[in-house]
Amino acid sequence: MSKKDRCKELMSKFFGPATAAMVDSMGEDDCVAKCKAKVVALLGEDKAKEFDGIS
Amino acid sequence: MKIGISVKLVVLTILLVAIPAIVLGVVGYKAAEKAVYTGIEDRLQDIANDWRLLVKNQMQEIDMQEARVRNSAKSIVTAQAKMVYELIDEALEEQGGVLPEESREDIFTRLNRNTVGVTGYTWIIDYDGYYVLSKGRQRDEEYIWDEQDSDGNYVIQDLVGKGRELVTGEIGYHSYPWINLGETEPREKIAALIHFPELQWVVGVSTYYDDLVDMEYRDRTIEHIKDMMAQQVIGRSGYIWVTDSAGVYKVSKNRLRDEEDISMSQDANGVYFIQEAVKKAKAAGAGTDVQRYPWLNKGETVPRMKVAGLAYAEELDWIIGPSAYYDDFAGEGSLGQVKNTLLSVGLGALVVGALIAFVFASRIASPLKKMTEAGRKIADGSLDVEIPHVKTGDEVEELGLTMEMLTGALKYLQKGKGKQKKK
Repeated sequence: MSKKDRCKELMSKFFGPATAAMVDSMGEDDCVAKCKAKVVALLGEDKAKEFDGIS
Repeated sequence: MKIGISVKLVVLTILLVAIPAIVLGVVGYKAAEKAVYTGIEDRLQDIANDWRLLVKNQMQEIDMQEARVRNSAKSIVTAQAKMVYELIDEALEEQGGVLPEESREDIFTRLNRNTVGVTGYTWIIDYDGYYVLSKGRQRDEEYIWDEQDSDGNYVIQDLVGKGRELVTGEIGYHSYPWINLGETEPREKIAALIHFPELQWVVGVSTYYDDLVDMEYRDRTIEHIKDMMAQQVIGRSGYIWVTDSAGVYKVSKNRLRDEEDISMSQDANGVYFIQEAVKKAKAAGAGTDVQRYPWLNKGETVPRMKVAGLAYAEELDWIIGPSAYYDDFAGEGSLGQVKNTLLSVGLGALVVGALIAFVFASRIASPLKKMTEAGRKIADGSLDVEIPHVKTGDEVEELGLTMEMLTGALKYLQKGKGKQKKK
């Protein structure tokens, strides 16, 4: 599974399908950082840790 | 009262379409109107110039014709004068340089029978100004030295003076205006003169030009030109007027006011437009000009703009002014078509613009309405509301995503709290 697919999965879980679709416009390299930043801002550092496992 | 965004957008778009359409329409119409009016002025100037050329050509033709007929008249009196000379000269030779009474009477009788044209005749005047031979012999022996022609010249003195300068056998000529009894207008007369110094006689063969040739040709031709001008209609109600330099009508509408002095005529603004037109036409020389003037017709309340092309026909001292109302051409022809086309295009653009505005406003306003509705439900505590997904690629789409993220985050946080309570 690619980084983008993993990010989409998490974004869908936290926010919903439309937000997950945003990941399509992100790059494979920067999608994790961008998605993590949004989760930190809205849900806090703890929830954002789920992105740490994506490599 | 709340006005929805879709209504605002439609109104805005209609205004954005309508204002440029109206402005462009007005500017376009004004430009077309100017072009048409310029065309009218050019056309009127062309008409004026055409008539000027026609007058010029006709006058040249008349001058040539008159020169021909004058020569013809001169030839006729010359031929008669030669015959008279030979008759008297032969008698003188036969009688040894004198003319006895019997011989004179014989010559006078023969000369008196001899007519020239319709009313012409042969006369003899002595050096002292007495008729030796008069027309019909009615004034023989009468002293006529001080008689004057219709210009006030002492015509007998002129005739005798010129005659006495001639050498024997030479023929001289003299023209003078003369009014016969019962006539009001002078007619031009020509006399061929011969001189008999031995008798102290000046013999003349005289006649009116128009007895021999058609001298009315000029007047008839000018009248014909005037009639043709009066018959020409320009536009719907335009016509050709002609005045002389003094502002006296030479050709009026339907020729009803010919010879009327209109030099003091004023337009609706109080301008002496005939005087201006005369000045302009004469200043234009061989060119043309135009006179624009507001004119209030009887029975009308608002003056209408009129224009006259101007040309000066020097030969007759005529200011030729074909004239017409501008609006005679506005309702029909090219300007009318332009007006209709602009109105059609403007209305079409407005309708199409309104339709496009309606479609766009609906596309923008519809998701906004849905999001507003969703926002209200969220505010009421219902997080399961569906946020509309729009793919507009603009701020509306971004707004939808943001709302979904916020709703999703709230839902996720609520779930977390629920789990913590269960524990």
